[in-house]
Amino acid sequence: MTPRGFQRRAWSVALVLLALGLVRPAFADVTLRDAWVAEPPPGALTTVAYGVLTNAGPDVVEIVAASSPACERVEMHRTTHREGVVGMEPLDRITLAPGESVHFEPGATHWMLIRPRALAHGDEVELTLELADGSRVRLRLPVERRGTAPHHH
Amino acid sequence: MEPSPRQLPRWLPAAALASLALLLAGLAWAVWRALPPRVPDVGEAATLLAVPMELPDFQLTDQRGVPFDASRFAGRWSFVFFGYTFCPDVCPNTLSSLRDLYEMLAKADGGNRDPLQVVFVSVDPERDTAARLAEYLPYFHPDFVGVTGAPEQIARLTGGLGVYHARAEDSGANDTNYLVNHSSAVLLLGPDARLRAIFPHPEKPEPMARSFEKIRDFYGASG
Repeated sequence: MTPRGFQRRAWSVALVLLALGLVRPAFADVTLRDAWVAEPPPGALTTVAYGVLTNAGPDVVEIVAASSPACERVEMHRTTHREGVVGMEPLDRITLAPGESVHFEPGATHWMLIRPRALAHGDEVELTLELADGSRVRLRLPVERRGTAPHHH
Repeated sequence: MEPSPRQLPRWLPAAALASLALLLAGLAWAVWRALPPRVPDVGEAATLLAVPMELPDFQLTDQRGVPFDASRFAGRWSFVFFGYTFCPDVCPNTLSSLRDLYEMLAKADGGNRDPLQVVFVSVDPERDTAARLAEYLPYFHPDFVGVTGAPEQIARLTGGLGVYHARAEDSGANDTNYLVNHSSAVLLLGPDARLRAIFPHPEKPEPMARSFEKIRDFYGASG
């Protein structure tokens, strides 16, 4: 086989594999915009991270866990409102179809940061999302005071 | 023989008119009495109670360890919120909204009216000690009053005001990271220490401020 023929053949094999979905990019195309972590008040054992999480890739993405060096533990929660009573439900996973976005926002879905270290307005927090396929998405979020930015409620 | 109109007493038309006026006045009075109490339009942010609700008896303490009972509501308008400091989302967002509301109203007023206070009552007294509230609450506003105490005393206050709170079912007894479900509304107590109105959506301070000013004007005018 000539080198040229080999190249052509390799390309066709790659295309077939891609079409079959056997070869995928090594990282998920997950983006987070308008993201921020609320500056925890003194003595607070928790704080929160918000933002709009979008699956910009062609495949379904499942977020199964989150972690951050800025706190002991991160949980995904949904705030519930039932007959004037608020509560929080832990979410085991969040599934995003291709092109789908989930709004992590006040009074709704959010990341709860448990026992955060001292964080102040202007700091940056790393948030790592763990996907069902074992891959990770590393994000950086600014720490802001509640009610100080226009996108805050 | 037709009776001449002149034969009728001269006072008759006047008497008839007077009786009619009396009858109408009586009727108007009866209708006015039968109507429900006048409820003003206070905007969508607040639900006004047709009949103000009395506070139950309770004994709690503020974040400085000073006793906090019903007398602490007298002589001022109070915005009262029930929550807990372990809450990451709704409670701190509501306190942030109450700070905006408090500053908005303080700026609009000139200190000429009844004073205002914001009271945060913990529904998680196990973790929310007075010391923790003293550390946490001034972040939102140094004037805010934090209230905690014995669980049964908190239950007396919340029970008497129709405020719900309970530890979330999936929280283990030994888990220090448990969650608490609770009513999200902000209550408005008048200077007579009675519950006057409820703000069901306290995340928006501007409409709350407008509604509050209408409520204060209404009660200021009618006593």
